[in-house]
Amino acid sequence: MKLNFVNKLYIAVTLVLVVAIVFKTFSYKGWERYHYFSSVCAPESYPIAIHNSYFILADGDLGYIKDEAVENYTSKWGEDYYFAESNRRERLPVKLVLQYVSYRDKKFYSDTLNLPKEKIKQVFKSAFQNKQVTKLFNPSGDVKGLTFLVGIANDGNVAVWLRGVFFEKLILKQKLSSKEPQGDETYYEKRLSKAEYIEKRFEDLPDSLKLKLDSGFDNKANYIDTPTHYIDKNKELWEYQKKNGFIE
Amino acid sequence: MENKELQLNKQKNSNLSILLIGVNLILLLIFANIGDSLDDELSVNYCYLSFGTTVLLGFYAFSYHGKGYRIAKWLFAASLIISALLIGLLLYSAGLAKAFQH
Repeated sequence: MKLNFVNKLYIAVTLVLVVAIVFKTFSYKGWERYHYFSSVCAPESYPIAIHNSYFILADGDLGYIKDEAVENYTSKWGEDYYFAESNRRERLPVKLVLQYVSYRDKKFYSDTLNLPKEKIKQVFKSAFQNKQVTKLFNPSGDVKGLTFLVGIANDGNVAVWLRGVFFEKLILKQKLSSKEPQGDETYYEKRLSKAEYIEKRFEDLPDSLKLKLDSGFDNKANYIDTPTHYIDKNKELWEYQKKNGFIE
Repeated sequence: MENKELQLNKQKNSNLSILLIGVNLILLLIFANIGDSLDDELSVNYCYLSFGTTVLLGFYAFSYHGKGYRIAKWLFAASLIISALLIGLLLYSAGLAKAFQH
């Protein structure tokens, strides 16, 4: 049989599609993607205003970190945002970008931290093997994964934990040095001076709390070394959930 | 005699074409579904699939002539209408999105 033109064309299309599928599969790397949720916390007595907080993922995408509780000054040390959700599997984070100003010491911090890539990957793998993964909300049905928690303590100390069920692992602990704010770091509605920016960003911080903080409350605290008691606090809940089959 | 051979060749080529259309559509479906798609992206995937069908059927419909191949023209016409409707829908929703400005 002699191939006619249209069949040659179809075969060319097939080849192009096969190449495209191989390329897309290897650039998407589905086997290196996981469901996870990220949030940030800060001690109540050391409020901060976040300018930027996000992960840089292995494929260069940006990973969103929920900072609502910190923005409302309702965050507590070691407590993650209560509604963990994940819309899609994503590559794991490799870098953490943080830019914030602290109310207590009036200092600006800005840095990009390298995360331990291999360690994070191992933690995800072992958490799935040991059934330590937690349930995350997804519009088409709950999914399993872990949660990242970025803790911003006083004096520029930063910690990152990975959490699941009966599982918490510290993956990064680092001290940032304060820097002079640059560029848009003092931009809020318009370009402001350092003092104006701090005043504007902490406008909604209750006066009673401001008074308390300014009078030196909790002055000698060292939050970075304060245990989070995450497992102790949730033990009872998980045991109940396991007993009733809500989680594995 | 030679005519018959030509007819047979055409028949074989046509069968191969139909097979290849099927294979290409399956590959297109696989390509579109790599990765976790959100709902809105899924509907765009169906548009690609519909356009793909139209183009592939179009080649077939304009390459094979004769009584036995007429059904391909009808299928092509149907897929053309469906694709046109989808394009219309996409343009309409893009227009709606454009009008939604804060």
